[in-house]
Amino acid sequence: MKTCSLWLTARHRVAWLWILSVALSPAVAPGAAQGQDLGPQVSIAVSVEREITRTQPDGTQVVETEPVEEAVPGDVLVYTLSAHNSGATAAHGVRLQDPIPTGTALVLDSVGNADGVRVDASLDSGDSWQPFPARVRLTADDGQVQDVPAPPEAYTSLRWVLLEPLFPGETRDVRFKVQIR
Amino acid sequence: MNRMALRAASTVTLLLAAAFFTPTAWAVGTAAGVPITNQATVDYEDANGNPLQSLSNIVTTTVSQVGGVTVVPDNAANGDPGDTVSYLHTVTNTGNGTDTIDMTTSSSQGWSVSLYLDDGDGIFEPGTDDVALADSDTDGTPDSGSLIADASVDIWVAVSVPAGTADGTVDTTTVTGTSSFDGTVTDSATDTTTVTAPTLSVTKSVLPAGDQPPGTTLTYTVVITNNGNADANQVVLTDPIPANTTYVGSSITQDSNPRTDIADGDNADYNVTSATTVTVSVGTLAPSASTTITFQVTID
Repeated sequence: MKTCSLWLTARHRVAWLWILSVALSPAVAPGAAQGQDLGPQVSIAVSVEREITRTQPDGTQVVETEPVEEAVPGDVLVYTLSAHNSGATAAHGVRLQDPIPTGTALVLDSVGNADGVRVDASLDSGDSWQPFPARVRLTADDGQVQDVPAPPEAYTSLRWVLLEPLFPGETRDVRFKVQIR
Repeated sequence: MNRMALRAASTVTLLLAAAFFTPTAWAVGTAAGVPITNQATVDYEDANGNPLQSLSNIVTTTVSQVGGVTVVPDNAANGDPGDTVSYLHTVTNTGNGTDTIDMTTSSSQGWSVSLYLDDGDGIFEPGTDDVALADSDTDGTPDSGSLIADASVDIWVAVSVPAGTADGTVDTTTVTGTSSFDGTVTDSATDTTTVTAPTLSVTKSVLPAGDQPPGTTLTYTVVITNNGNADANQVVLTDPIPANTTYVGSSITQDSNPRTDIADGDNADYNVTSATTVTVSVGTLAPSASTTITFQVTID
């Protein structure tokens, strides 16, 4: 009985210390709240542009992008995700994640595996992930199983995993395109 | 147990795959006015492995309206002179917002063309079930009425073939739907009408030929042929006997069958319907059909 009581006491003490540290943390780390002094502080920004094809006077076609507020079905939107570490230390295991917007389908060849980045894809709104490009398993009537590339409209989310830390002051951009259905 | 679990998993995969490969039902595209929004997330850890997360701003792109029209199908039919040939078309708003599609027609032969709204049964009944296409937006052109995205109506194009139009005449009537939202968006279908009219030829010969003395009996042979592409109805041969001859009683034959001279059921008479005239009611001659009528006279 005595042993048990001691154990309980120790456990309570730990809990008390934990509560104390939570209560103290704002006062102890004012710099962290401002994102200046302590730890990594990664922000992310999204911008969108529309892809347009311009025909030059000599007949050649050039693909450019322009700001967009309104678009029509068939238009290609280019999303740029920009992650920036404004903190004091490196951010590890940085993962930029973005759902494919409703009403659009991913442009598959717009997703590239840049240096130091692994792109994952989800076909189920982020519940499960696989390396891009995703595949889906088809089972024929005769039971034969076949893995085939997932069609663009099957993609629901993309995730860019930075293989190296994002150091203070660093910015990392990733891009992908979707077509409005 | 493992085998059962695997089987269940593969079934789920199959269902998912089926969902992915079902053709998406967005013929019209994303509806006008729908916002396309995007917000990204970044997850990361500090040096101690504590998870941290930030959300991005939200960017919004609004889908604008685009016009879209289809008019199908192309049709072809035969028509007799004086007939109205009707063609059914489906007019669809393939845009991504509500639109009214103006309907116009143009006949290559300049014939009269009317537009009717089908009542849903696909049977042309002008004036009973099918009403003339209305100008719902009062812009001076009859139209489909207001159609939401992907909605369609069935429309009749009634082409009137003028009486007396020659056999084999071809008319191409173009029916065009134009988006009221965007007048540059149009689609057309064609209705090709080939006129099938009867074309009768009559040849007459006499035996014996050449100069003959009085008292000679002459046999006249009249061949009537329909060289056209439609039935010739109510064909009647009237042939007054020549001057200075006397009709030989009961000498009329049609296709080698004897006919009486009186007005009875055998469709031929002499001197009854018209004086001193052979009259034969041939009736209907189908395309390529012919009939041969003979009668005799004696030279006075």
